[in-house]
Amino acid sequence: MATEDARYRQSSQYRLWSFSPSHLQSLREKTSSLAVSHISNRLRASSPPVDPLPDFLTPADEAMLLNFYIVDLLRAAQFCDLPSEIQATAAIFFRRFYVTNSLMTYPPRALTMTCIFFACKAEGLYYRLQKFADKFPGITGEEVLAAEYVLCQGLRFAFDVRHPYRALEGAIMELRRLGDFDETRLARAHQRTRDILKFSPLLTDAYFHYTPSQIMFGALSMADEGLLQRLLRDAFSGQSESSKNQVLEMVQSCRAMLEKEPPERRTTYWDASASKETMKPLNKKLKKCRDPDRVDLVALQKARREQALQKTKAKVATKEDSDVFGASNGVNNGMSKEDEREAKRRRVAGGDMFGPPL
Amino acid sequence: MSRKPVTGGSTVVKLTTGPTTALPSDICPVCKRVRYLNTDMEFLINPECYHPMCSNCVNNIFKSGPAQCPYATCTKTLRQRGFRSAFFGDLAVEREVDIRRRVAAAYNMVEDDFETLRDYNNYLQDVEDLTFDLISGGDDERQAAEQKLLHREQEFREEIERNKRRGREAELSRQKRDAAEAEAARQRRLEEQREEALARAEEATINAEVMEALARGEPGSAAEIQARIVAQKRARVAAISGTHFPSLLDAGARNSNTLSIRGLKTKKISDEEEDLSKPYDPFAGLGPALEPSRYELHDTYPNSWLEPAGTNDDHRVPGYSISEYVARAMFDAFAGLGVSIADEKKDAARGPGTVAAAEAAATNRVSGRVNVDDVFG
Repeated sequence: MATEDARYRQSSQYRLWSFSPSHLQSLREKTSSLAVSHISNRLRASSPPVDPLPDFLTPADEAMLLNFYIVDLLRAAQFCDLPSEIQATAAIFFRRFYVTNSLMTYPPRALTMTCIFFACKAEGLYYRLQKFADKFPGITGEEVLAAEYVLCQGLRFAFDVRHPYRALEGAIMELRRLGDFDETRLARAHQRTRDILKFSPLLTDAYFHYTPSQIMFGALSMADEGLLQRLLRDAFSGQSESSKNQVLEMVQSCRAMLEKEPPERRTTYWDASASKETMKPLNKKLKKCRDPDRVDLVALQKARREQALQKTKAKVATKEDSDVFGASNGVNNGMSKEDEREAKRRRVAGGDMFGPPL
Repeated sequence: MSRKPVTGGSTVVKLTTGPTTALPSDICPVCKRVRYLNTDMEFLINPECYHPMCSNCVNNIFKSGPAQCPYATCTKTLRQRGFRSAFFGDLAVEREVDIRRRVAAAYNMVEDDFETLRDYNNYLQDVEDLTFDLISGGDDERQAAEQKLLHREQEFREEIERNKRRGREAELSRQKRDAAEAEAARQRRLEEQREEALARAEEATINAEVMEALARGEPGSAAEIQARIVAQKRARVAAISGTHFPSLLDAGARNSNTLSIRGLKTKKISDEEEDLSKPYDPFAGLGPALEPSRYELHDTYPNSWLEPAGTNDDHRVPGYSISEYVARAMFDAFAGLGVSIADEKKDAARGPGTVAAAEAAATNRVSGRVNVDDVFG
């Protein structure tokens, strides 16, 4: 077992956010069905009961909408001039969040902003909230912050996203050192792989099913198959053919996944009018079946704050009560206080000048 | 002639006859001869009664056979054979030593013969009691003790013999060892002396060599030549006296040259102490586990992007380390390459990370209104 793999298995990305395809699918279905049952309960219970119930988004609809919003997110992040790692982090946060939460439960538009802003924090890039909110018309700082805690919960507080970008640099450096290929070929492959990595893995489930290194090699094989073979030959020089083939197989399946969303599709997605056209019916559908409690996250957050405030107030009040109670019980309390002081004095002065025995 | 008062020894000691315990120095108590007239006069005693008398008296009285002790109250019959000169000036001490020697010969067991230390100590106590009875007990006590001692001497003769033999053997081996050690120490001393003499001789020739070199007209100034030769000599002297250390340190095989210390308990080194004896390992033994297996980390990689970072003050001054970046990039490139998530996570059919989170996620969607996901509650 390679040490690098053992170290990768320690990461939260492997421990919490790696799934087999069937598992991921079942998770999404479960999330969707839970959301549907909850929202339908809620709609039926509202004061004029909603009847008939709207048709809910299917998991397939959600997947399409998810990609639409991720493209949206990437465009917004690019608009903010964020480095590609942070863009990717934001996109992956968004993806991860909607594994255990449905698009119908939390409004995706608000979450894109929160994801971008929070990705800046997670990657250690300071972005002033006001400056960030000013970049986008119709968005306030409050709205950005409203879903932040929910997002953290949804991410299970695992903020470390392992990207394949640095891995690509490493691979190219290694290839350059080997010196088997001419510079133009390497530079072209480098450029092409980077383009793929900036787009394709973010719009597919590659991050859930493959490790960054596999994603990088998949993208590299899309750009230049020969480079991949050369690198794998060195990496598995001392090992059996079967383990190499197994890795190669994984890389190929990753490549197949990435090829579903090649970077050329970026322009079609980018062409806002066209994609909006296709998404319009879905968005309409989403609008109808949203969770009415969570449409306005700001109000929700405010209500929650007030509730918490009341709760702490109540707690403080009970505490004071007990204090009053204690004071009326005078003697006893005094004793205990004196004891406490005595204990403290003992701790400070100490029976033993040099402290307790070692 | 007045008899000398009791002087040495404790008052408890009581000889069988006569109050005096000190060996006379000048006048024989029997024939009253004076040393002044007979300078080689020698006083003898007989362990039967410890009455001192001069050798002339012994010859005169006992030559013709056993006779009664010439002392007034003494009724012991003595033989010439039993007379000997006293070792101690105080005859009480002489007697006590004799008694102790006899008792020790009879009761000659060692600690190894007993099951526990307490048993051994009890035995020693009993023996001491018996000895005390013999030395300074009353008549009855002495007689009883005497009986006991005789009984022991007769009944356990074989055992006593055996113990004696064993003791002799142990003594012999101890002597042999001591002799060997003394010899080793002597050798060591000699060796050191030889080395010292050699080193001294080397040093003594320094001046001569310097003069010679100057006379030969070697290149360089006089001071330089002198310094060079002195340095050479010093190195040689150091090499000679440095041989002390090998002779002292690595002579595990040549046992004769080492200072051997016996009787030390074998130390048990606990795990913790053993760890302390090793050099500090910042990775706590993880070192090999952090070594890359799929690639080899080189010092430099051709990378036009990184080159400025090595010279640019913006990177250099805050401590940006190119090798750090390279190590990380290479690690990223190959880390997790062999991890097959589809296989490894196949049976991990669980929801959110923790049970609590799973519950929270479930309740989020089924319970009512605003406080559904009240994170502060």
